[in-house]
Amino acid sequence: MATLKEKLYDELKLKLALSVEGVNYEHGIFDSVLEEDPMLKKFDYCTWDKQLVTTKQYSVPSSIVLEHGFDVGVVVDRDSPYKIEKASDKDFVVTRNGQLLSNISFLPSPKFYSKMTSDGTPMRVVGSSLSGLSPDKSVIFGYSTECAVKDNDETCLFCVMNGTKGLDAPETRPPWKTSAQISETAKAAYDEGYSHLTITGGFIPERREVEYYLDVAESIQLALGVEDFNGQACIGAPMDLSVIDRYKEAGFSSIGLNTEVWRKEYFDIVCPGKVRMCGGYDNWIKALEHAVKVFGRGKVRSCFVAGLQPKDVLFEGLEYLASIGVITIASSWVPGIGSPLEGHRSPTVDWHWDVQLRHANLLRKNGFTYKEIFDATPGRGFAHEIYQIEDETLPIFSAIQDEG
Amino acid sequence: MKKALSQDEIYNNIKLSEQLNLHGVQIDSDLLRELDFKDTYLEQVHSCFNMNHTTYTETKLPDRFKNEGGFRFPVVYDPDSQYSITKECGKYYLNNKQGRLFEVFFGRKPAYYNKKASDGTPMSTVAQAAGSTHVSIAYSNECALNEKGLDCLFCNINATKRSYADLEGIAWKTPRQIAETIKAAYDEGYFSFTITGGFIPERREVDFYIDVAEAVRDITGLEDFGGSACIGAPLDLTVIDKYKEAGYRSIATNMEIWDEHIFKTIVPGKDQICGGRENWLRTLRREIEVFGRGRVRSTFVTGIEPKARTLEGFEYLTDLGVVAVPSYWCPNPGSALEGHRQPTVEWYHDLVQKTYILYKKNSISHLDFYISNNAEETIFDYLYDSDGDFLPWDAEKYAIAV
Repeated sequence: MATLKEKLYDELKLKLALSVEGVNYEHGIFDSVLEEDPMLKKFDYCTWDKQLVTTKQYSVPSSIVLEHGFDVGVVVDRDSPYKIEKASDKDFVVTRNGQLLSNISFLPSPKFYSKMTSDGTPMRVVGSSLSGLSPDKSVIFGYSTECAVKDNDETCLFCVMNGTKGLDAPETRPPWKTSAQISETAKAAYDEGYSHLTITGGFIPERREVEYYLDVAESIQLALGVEDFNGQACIGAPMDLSVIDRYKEAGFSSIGLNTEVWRKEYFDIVCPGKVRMCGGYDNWIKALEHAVKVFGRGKVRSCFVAGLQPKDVLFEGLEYLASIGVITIASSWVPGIGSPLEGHRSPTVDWHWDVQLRHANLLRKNGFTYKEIFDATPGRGFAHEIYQIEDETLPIFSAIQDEG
Repeated sequence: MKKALSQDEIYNNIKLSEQLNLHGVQIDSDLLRELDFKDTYLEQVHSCFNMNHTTYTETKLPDRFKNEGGFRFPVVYDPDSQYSITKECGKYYLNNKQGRLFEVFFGRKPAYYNKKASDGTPMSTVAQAAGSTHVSIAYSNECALNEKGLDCLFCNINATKRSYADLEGIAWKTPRQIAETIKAAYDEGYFSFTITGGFIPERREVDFYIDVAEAVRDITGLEDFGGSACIGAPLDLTVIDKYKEAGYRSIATNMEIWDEHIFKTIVPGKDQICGGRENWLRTLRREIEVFGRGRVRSTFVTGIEPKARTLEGFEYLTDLGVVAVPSYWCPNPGSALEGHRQPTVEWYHDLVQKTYILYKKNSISHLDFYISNNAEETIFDYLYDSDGDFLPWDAEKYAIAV
């Protein structure tokens, strides 16, 4: 009989498979769920929907929760062997080629999703919870809905931010979030137990992001009444590296610079906008090295889009950065519609699974703790889950002990 | 008598062919053991690349099959595929998850496959039948780029050698083995060939190719022997003239990738030992001057770079008169990109249609395509047929039916 750990690993791999292979469903099956909880998040970026099946309707929750509590972002793919089906009026399951894999549920909406900022903007379109069911809660703020690299046709090849193909978001989102909207939403989220936030977004024309981020930090400090709000600023590498110091001075406790792919030749291909606007690959790596000096080990993160380059090249980068104190994220590439690589496919589930297991092991080998990973990343990733399975600190372990 | 397939039939078959390329097909080992590869069915010979999704050595594998309408499909073996070939009442069928699709007819083995060259080498290991008129010869089953760590990232020639060379008796070929095999193939109706292979140390390919041409002329007695030479871009472009003088009627220089950054990254050897991407372009332009429009090919491994970049290359090259051929990227076992996956069927379908439009726009005829390409019965051949542009030796057959 499989142990709990084995079951959890199986389910975690299913979570990965559903992200990589997508999931099918019959139109309308979520209507009752969405009616029951009008605050349930639907697709934020409909462009993840490979087949446009939710065009203008958005009748799909943005994520589901598997039997043992792992949440999965829904990527719709009509050709997927995985399917969400109704087992009864209220019960849903996920199947593969007709075979039952897991009962599923839907994430309860955080309270702040029902609130408004003082200018009448729904907080649910200002910030998003990226915590799943975990008690360790973090919220992310995407301050803009576009990226300035679009103007020069230099969108990162994997990115869907600039390519909505005329599709609207499920709800009107402000194209630009004010510091007041963000700080008020942060206050509401922290009041209900959130303890980490990330500010991110596309490039702003003329790279005025530092001024904006400093305003936001000040506003959050005022709203929360604390200096240290456990916030992360996700930025592009600045040409003047001393700018990184200003984020620290402003009160951000960690910083993110997403390298996306390792080695200059890949960076030049995949991120032409970052090359032009951020001093090229060498400057990006220098910025990460400088950020570790300023913020310290475990206080800098860099996200990689896993699947865009050979695995050994990817790990060359993950290993180097982890060795200098950067917490890396290996995000599985989902080729969304509207990205320059629309129609391409991500590597196999086994390829990605190997990446996630090796990556979590790499972070552990380099001495990073679960707390450091939580504080340095915008939301729950596979490293969080693997750490907590291995350490038996997922809530399910104590729940079972209590039952015992 | 042969009936040209309609555009609808062709596009439906193309889509299925693309599905089979992407997803592969599973065939039970017991069924494979039953197939008569000795005298009846054409088996896969791994003289260059293993294009299956796994390294399967338990039995031989069929090379291809057709449906009743004569459309040809590849056998890309994948034990986990949603497609399968099964046997019922002595007949073979292709199935998908929903059930049976159609009866399949495996490719037939040419007689020369069971013959031997004068030194005892099985001819099946020397030249592989691309169809009923063209054979393909990989003179070397390894690539010298490996020693320098400069393998093309999509390529598994060296891994294929490790898995199959001893098992199937594959080795480097001598000009005499090649010429004798071509003679045997031509004696049973074949009339064209392509010679290709991995890079050999010190780039001595030109001398070897000239020796092959001489041997083929001597042994077949043909001055115009229907040969195509597939080469890497030479540093000295006057070498190109030598291939023409040796008697090759077409030449191929496979760029694989168009975008300059992606070229450097995906084909580092072709970049570093062949004078860089610009020299590949100079080579192709020179080849057009020497061989003429429609007598130069450049194959691309499509699905690695964004489609817009590939098509940008195809527009440029077909305008020059180069037959730019999209091949499906198969992230095959042993390549640096093993475990990656090629784009969707829809992605490829769109690319094929746009490529064919470029052929027509630039007056690349069916015959040009055939003479330049190292394959037969490709999806482009079917498209040309559906437009009434038949190969001369097929025209009569179609004329009866049309």
